[in-house]
Amino acid sequence: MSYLLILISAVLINNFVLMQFLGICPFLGVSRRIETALGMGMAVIFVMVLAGGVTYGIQQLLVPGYEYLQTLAFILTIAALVQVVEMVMQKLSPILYQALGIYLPLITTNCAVLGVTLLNIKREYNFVEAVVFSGAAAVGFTLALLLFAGIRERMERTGLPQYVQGPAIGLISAGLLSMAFMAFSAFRTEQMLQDLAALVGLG
Amino acid sequence: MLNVLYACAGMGLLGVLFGVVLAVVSKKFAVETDPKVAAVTDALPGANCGACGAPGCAGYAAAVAGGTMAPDRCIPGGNAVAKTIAGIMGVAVAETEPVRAQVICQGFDPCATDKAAWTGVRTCAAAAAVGGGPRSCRFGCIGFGDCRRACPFNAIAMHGRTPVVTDRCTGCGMCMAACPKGVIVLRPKDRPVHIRCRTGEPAKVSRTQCQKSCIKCKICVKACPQQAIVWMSDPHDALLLWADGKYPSLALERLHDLPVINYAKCTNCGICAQKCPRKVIVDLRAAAASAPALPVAR
Repeated sequence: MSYLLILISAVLINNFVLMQFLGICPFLGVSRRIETALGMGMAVIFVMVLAGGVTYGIQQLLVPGYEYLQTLAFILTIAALVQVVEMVMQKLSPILYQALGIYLPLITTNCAVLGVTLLNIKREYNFVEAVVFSGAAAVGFTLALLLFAGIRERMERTGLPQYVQGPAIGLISAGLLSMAFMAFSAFRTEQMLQDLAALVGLG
Repeated sequence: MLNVLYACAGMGLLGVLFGVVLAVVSKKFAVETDPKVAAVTDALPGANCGACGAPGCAGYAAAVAGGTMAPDRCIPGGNAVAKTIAGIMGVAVAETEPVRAQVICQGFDPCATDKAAWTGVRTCAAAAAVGGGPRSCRFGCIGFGDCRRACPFNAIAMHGRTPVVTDRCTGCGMCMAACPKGVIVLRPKDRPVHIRCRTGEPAKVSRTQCQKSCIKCKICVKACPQQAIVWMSDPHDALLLWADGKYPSLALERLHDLPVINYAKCTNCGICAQKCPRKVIVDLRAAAASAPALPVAR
């Protein structure tokens, strides 16, 4: 698979949030406003690419017979990595820290980040493919978050009945959004994927 | 068995490794912060209401520690917090009388009526932008609850379309900023007598618009034994009263041709409330004794 196909597949067809249901917690929690959704999305892209690269190295350390420690080791790595990044960022780039800082601790134990690192290994990607897939998955996460935040911002201004306000209508519209994305799973074969790539102007 | 030990040792080693890295990084990349900022932040209520003028409690703490803002600007915290912060900063502050929000309009059903039905977005700001709003009096409360949504302390309850300020009010003034009609203002806390009308219409018009409207008769001014009621006839009056220190918001209220109580002189006798022919001046002690409880609805 070319990098382009990895990208399209991770962003649209196997969207982490809307198709694989990973990272639902920030999807519902940080989607009130488009600005916060964008901040969260940028932080996730940053952390996922880093985590994808670093955990690829950690996997090489796991001796045969001890692969079952993978999940544990990855969680430990991601948590430590996010902490280190937060501290370094605060020192070296206070502006970037102000933009992403409050979201970084939220990502520490995000299942989407863990999910992408585990999928990297399961699909036997090489290093570059793993990094591309991590970034693409995060872009897909950001896309879903932004779409949902846009919908919720509009819904705030409509006079909804009280019994569906807030989380209730949030879950309903998340479900509808997810169903809409399921249409992308019609692109099953590699040929179809290439057609789709041409369609969106990337091929 | 040995496998388990290896696994534990391996993970432990990884943990220790990361721990050491974290410790080194935290030392090497430590950001020096003023300990006063943390101390002031701890002393603040942490509601991030913005009443002080800074963006949130952390912003205010930084400004106080940096010396750019005074230590007594936290309104929800009141005198207690001001004293604590002044203690941290090593400066003195003067005591101020605590304030709370007051709704200066009684034009809810059935006193005033809707002159038109509003079917748009149910916020006061949107309704006020169209022809002065749907109420019969263009100065009065619209009742769509912008104040309730603006309150960071959940202190305002809507009884139907009537906003009621509860005891949770800290006097931060966020509701005042949110109200497009300016019918929520800050007044000294624990004062029972309040003037509740801000109509700018002449008596002939206001009489037809609302049952409890000021008709500019000035009976209250004459009735007050303390001469504590001031008739606002030009903006200068507001500045003079504001300078008396009992009115944190008066200069912003744009009251004109209306009575205002000077609480520095007021003795809470309640005579003005008895004399007012339009029941515009309320005595909360008398109201509490006679009024039935309003049904609570959101």
